[in-house]
Amino acid sequence: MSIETRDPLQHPEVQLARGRHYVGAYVVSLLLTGGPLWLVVRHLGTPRRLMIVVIASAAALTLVQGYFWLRLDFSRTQRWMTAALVLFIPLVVMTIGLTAWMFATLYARTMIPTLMHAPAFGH
Amino acid sequence: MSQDAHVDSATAVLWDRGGTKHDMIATRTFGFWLYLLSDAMIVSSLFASYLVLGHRVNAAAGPSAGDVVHPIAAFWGTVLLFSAILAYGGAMVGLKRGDRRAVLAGLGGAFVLGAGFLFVEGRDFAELALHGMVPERSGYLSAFYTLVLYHGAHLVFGLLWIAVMMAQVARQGFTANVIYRLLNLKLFWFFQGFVWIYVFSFVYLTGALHVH
Amino acid sequence: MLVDYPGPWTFLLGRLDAREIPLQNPILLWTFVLVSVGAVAVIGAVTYYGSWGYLWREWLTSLDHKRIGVMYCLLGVAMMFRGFIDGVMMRTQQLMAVGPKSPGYMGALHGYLPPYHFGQIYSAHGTIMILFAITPILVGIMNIIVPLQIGARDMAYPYLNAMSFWLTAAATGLVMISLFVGDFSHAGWVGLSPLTELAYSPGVGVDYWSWAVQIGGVGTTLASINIIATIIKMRAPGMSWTRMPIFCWTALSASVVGLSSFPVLTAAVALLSLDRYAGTHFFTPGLGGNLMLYTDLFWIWGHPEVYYVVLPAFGILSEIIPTFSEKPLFGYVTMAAASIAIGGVSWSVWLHHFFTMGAGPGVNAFFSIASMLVGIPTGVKVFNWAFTLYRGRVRFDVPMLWALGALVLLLTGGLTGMMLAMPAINYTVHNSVFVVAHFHNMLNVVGFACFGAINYWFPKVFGFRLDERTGKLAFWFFSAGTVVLFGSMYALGFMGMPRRMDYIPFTSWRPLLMGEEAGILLFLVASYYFVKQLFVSIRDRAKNRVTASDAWGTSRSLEWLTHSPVPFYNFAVQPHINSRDEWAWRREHGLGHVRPDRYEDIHLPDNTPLPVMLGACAFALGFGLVWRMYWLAASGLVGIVVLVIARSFQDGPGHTVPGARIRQMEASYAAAPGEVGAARDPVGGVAAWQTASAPRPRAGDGRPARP
Repeated sequence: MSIETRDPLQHPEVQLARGRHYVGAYVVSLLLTGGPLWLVVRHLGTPRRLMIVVIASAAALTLVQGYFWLRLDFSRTQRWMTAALVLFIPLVVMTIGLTAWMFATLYARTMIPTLMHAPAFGH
Repeated sequence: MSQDAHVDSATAVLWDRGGTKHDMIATRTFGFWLYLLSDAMIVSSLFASYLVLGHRVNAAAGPSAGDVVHPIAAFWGTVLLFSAILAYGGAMVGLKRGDRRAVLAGLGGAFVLGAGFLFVEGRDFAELALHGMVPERSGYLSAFYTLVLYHGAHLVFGLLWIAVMMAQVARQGFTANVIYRLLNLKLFWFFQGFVWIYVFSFVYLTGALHVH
Repeated sequence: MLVDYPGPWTFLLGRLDAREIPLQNPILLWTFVLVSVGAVAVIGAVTYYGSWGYLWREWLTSLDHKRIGVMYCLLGVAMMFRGFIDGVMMRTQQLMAVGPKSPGYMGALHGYLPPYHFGQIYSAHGTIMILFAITPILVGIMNIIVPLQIGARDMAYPYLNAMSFWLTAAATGLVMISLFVGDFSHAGWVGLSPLTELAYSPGVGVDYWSWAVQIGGVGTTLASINIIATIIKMRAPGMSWTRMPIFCWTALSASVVGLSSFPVLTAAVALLSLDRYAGTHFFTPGLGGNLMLYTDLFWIWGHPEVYYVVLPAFGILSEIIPTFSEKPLFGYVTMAAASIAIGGVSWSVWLHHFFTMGAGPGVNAFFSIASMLVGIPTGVKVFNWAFTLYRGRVRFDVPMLWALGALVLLLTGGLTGMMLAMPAINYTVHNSVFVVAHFHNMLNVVGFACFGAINYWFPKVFGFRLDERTGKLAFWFFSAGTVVLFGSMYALGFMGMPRRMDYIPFTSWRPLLMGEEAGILLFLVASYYFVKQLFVSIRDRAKNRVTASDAWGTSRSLEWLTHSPVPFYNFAVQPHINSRDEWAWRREHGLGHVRPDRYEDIHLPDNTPLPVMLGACAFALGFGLVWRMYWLAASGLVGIVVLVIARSFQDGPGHTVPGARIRQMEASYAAAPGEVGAARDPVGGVAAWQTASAPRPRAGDGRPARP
């Protein structure tokens, strides 16, 4: 666990910078945000399908940026950071997901019925 | 316990002989990463609020997502933000070589591009405000502004930090302390890209989904 | 200004003017007089003894994890007294205001507290007890013990550690000053929404509460980061995960819970502040706000927070029970797994705080089942402790008494918790004092564990044991008080008494209310004995001096390997870990006396006043925001930013203690029996012999090791 580095510039976390990875992730990031944008703005698909595309591209971007930019992998240097992130993902999902689920059922019971099925994201 | 049986008390090493020094840089970056994850929980709460307050009722007969978001402007912001991150990546590649000028150039580039992102965002918001779409208008707009501006406030803080780091790199060179701060700032700056993925996807793109 | 509120505003003082100092309220006036007299006495004494320099150099600016831990504990214990007095006032009001014929005093229709004042007291009681009493005490204990148990020199980030403490202290200061300047929130410790909105609470009370919670929340989040990083990165060589003491496992699990949940609290309360200051509509009843969202966000923090406090308490029990059963802990692996499991499940149970809100049956069923699942790992722990006791050589020292008391309380508290996890029962007892009795029951588990921990680790930190007789009296009175008070409260809950009542309409409840009052009087006696215990022990510290590193003779984990009191460098040489219960292993193999044969230089950070100054700036920020003195708030914020940047340019080089000096200190420690160094310190301990020699370490002690 202990790495003694005389020259801090030789520290593994400094040395893991990779110019090519950075540029590659940059290009992919722009494609994965520009692509869905184009589809959405042009209405190329039903809202449900487009939603799936948006979710999928966000998930893919998470992996791309996480691996190529933040270098989150299971190497000796980075594994605790990766582990911490992996442990936090369920908490994020639960915070948002369970809250959304709770309020979906709550709104169905407490809000005015005629407005029930019309979210603000639309019409 | 059974595992203790393996250690012979006669020959056991009782005191550390290696002079174990813990890795200061890795400890600092790990702690900062934990801070970023806790910050991610604030972002999650804001996303949860945004989702809950996205109901028609919460728009209070005012503008809803479709009226508020400008995905194309946001995309130009995205390009600037990702470029700012790439510039910081350039600084990191320079740091690997110990090239002070490259690090300063990368930091400077990140500063300018990050400021550019804030400019695009600010202009977008100014236009919204001009049309009366201000946070005080409705629960939905409160959640929208708070979520997007929370990310923006991080960038403002990041710019300040970049300026401080440029001064430190120029004055002190690459000491261990400067290097761990550069690494922390890298995590911070890259993390804003992470957060922006979700803001762009689930606020701007999703909001624009239903515009006809 | 962005939002409308009643009353005048001036640039210099914001909303503050002389009328905000509640001189007309006799209770507050007398409290103020009392506090002032006390403050003058303390300041006078410190000045008389010329201890300002000592206090500043050795404590306030210290980065030593033990001293910061002690300050955390002192803060927590002091606030616990404050919260306790709030409790006495509430119980007395409820007893006095029973039935329409009950008389009223001091402006109240019934009893002696008008509803608004009563509301402030119960809000302050809850906020203080959870956030500013129990949390600081536990953070303090973790601060002191975790680095010692893993064989580290200090926490991973000593500077951040001091900063967390001073942020907590600043938040506590905000709560305390609200007594005398303005008022406190009357909307419950949970901040009942939308009562907390500006339209319904236009005063500064809610602002005091919200800024104290936010500043304190940041402090606790940072403390959690520190503990996690310390455990992951700073363990001594040989200390694998399966050799780590259970207290560290629970501290790790609790800190993960704290790190992930406190930000949500900060977010929830910050959104409320946006409503109050920026005019947004998150939780307002009109214009698209959703007050239920606040409840949801608050409890996303609120329930994990319960585990944040209970997990270290479980860890404390897991340390005390084996020591006084003279046996290793039963089921180490399941204990560690249960600690992590409790932390994990704690994240999916929060909705059981508002089953009645009206979510669908599927949602309620999910959260009900998740809440009951917590019972499994907790049950595992209870059985493990029971099996540790089984056929042990049980000694009833004071820490053990507290631990066993906690075990009994955990049983009743856990079972009533199971009842509350069922939505059907929950609907009937929702917002009744049954719920209040349940969570006081559980928090008493934590309280008992804290008292146990204070008794157990006191000699480690200060070098002398706490007095046995008064300690036992404190325990028995406290236990009796718990049974009488919360037994009555459970019964009242079944009778349907709602919580937070300043007036009780039914005279038939009077006997049980008298029971509650009797219980709290027993608590009063217990706290008298607790104070007496501290007083007697400090007075007779020469008598209770610990001459061995192991104060109890049968302790097991690593912290007992180093001297008592612990020197400022913790371990002269980092120990190499060979076993799960390292100290017990060395003692049983006759290695307790073996000292290192060579000493190396030790590098330590310099003390710095910056954390105190940061705390002062945070206080200014909070106070300025409460009173809307925007210049003060802005100065506080700018002060924080400037201090952080200034610190980053300083690169505190720290100082090195040469190995030769360590050798000399260790030698003098071994040679000089008695209390040379400790006596110099007013309270006798915590690295007292930084500059002098000190009590004698006779590693190992007279007790024969059990095979």
